[in-house]
Amino acid sequence: MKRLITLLFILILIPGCSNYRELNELGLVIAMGIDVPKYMENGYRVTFQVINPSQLSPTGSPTGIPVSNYTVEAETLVDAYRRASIIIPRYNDVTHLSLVVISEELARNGTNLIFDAFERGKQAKTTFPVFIARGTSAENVLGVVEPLESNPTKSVRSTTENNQKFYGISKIIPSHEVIATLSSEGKDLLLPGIKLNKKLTSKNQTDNLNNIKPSVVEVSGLAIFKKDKLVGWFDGEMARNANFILSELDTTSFPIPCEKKYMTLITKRSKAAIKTLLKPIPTLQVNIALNTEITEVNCNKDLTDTKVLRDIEKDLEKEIIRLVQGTIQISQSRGTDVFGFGTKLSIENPSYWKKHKKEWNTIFSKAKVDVNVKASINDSGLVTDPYEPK
Amino acid sequence: MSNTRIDGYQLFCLIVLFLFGTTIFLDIGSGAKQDAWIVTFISPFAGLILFTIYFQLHKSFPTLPLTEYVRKIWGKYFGSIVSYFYIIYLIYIAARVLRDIEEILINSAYYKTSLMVVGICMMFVLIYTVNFGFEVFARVACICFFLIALTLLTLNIMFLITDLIHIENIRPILSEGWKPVVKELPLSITVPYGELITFSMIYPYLDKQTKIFKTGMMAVLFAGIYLTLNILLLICILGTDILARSSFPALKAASFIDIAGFIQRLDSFVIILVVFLGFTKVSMFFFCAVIGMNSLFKIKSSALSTYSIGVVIFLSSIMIAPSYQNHLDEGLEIVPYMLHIPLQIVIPLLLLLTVLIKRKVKNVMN
Repeated sequence: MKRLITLLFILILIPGCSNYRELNELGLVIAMGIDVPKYMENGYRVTFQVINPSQLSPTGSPTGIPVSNYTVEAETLVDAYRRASIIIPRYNDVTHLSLVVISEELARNGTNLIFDAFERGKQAKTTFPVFIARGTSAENVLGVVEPLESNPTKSVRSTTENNQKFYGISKIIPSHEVIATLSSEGKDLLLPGIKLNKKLTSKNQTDNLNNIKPSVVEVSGLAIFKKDKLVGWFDGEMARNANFILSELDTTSFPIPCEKKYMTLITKRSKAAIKTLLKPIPTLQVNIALNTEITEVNCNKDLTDTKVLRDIEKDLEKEIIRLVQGTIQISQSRGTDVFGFGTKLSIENPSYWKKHKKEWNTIFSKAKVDVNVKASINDSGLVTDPYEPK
Repeated sequence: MSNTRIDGYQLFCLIVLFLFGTTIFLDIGSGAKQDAWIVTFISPFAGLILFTIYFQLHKSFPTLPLTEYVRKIWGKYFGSIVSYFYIIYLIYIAARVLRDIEEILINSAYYKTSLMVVGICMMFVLIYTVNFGFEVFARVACICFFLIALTLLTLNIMFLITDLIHIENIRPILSEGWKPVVKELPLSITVPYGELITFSMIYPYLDKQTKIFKTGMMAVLFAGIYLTLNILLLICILGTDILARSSFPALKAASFIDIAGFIQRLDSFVIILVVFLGFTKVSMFFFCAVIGMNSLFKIKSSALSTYSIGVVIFLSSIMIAPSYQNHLDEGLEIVPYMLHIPLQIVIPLLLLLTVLIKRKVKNVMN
């Protein structure tokens, strides 16, 4: 009797292995591209990028492309995921999803509640970043293998991370932050854009790997959203400035005009704080403090003189004020508060916010912009004065 | 049940785990939005008052459990009915908590397992525990306490490292005034603090009677402080919007953890919490239901009542509601007003009043 009970106990524990799956039976979806459908009226055209593990093994040279893309069309994302089984030969699993690309066209029509499936799903985690495929389809962006980073998903991510650390146009925005921003009051969404720097020259993907000027993923500005609709872009430098205002910049470079040429200052540390003032007139205030170092001088300046350095600091401050004001004005002209001035106001002055949140976008568009910058130069590299051709 | 050797420390662990129970991974007081932490900050003080009421009742009858002294106070027939209600109440709450655990498990790690299988596995462990007696359970609770403290510490450190905590989420404070806070209070007092009435069933079996009051007070305050911190963390991490929308906020918050793309998916930590806390809470109710049943129906061997109550708890946890949403609605709209408030607050107060009046009358007579 006792033995029978023990056996029964063991029987209960066995179901633990009931839904096991071996690694070589899994088709891990690592990226999803979401486009406007071609053949259907509504719904999405979804590209699933499935990894091919045998091409990624550290030993043995890879013989082919490490990923395969499968494209299906369906009314909803989950339906597309299920339907993809008509072409994906392995059990498709989204637990390792690490990139979602949405095409610009779809974003312009409105993303709607596209992220719900990710938030609701029991398997997918919401830490993956979201990108906008600028001027092209997500399918195209995910369909390029580069020589340096042959996995497109990894290529998008690492190009972005690299840019984020080095210049600051792009940034990784996890989807849970996207949802939080979309559902918050007084702040609109900014999403990083990506595109291909040039069209693929050959239909054969591996040709790109043998090209000295390959077609690669390029980070390209930040998409400005109004509610869930894409309404415009911050381009290159403007996108960098936007991240500067949001205080999400690691380091970046500023060329400053001097005597018809330029000198380059690199920020070492920067901090920006935004504030919304109501009196006497609604004002958007940005206070920026940054430390810089001089890394390049193309003009004749006496850098040993502290007075000259102070002048350069002044120039830099003026330059930054100009850039930041221009950036905020773009946001104002689109009528979307992507910097969260409204959120700041709702925290500081909840009663005013409650009354005026409906017309906030118009108040925001008409508000005065006030930028205060405190820049300081810490050092000027290994030399003081630049050399002089004689 | 003979006298059980439980020292103050074990009682402390038990009460704290019991109070953490399901509250730690559900959003208590989230109706008050960013002021939810004020709700969880105030409610332990109300909890202390309730605890004092329960303890005063126990002090009047130091050798009897709740179901017995109800009969002493309100007479054999009416008292029996009330204590019968209490036993059913304990079984019902046990089933509710079990259902909570089952739902959270099949919604995270066991998404392909049925509610039944998870429930059966839990029930086996629970029956096994109850068979061993309370002393063993108390010692297990101590081990659980350490494991849970360690898990919570790790989780919170991870939250800090990932830089998920946005302090500005709790501002503006009291923007809507006190109204939403007050509205949330009854719910957050009854669960978990009102459920402390369960402990009235085991006080008489503890051998160190003098320590009960002090330890209990400390445990209630400690749990109150930690639950406040916990809800503050959740608000700071998730923001009020996601907090209000997600079925299991703690799971959601843990899923945000991503350290260098390497340490992620710490949901399993939350699962550990769910299993251990759920286990202590359900077995506490289970134990007390068994004690009550044995004393009310004068059952000698507790095996019969253990198995039968275990099966009833398991079955009712499945049958209690057709869907999770239904289960939640019941728990938020019906149970607090129909069961919690009468059985946790009104009846104990009436009992205490009766005791005091009886004592007065006796004094006057003498």
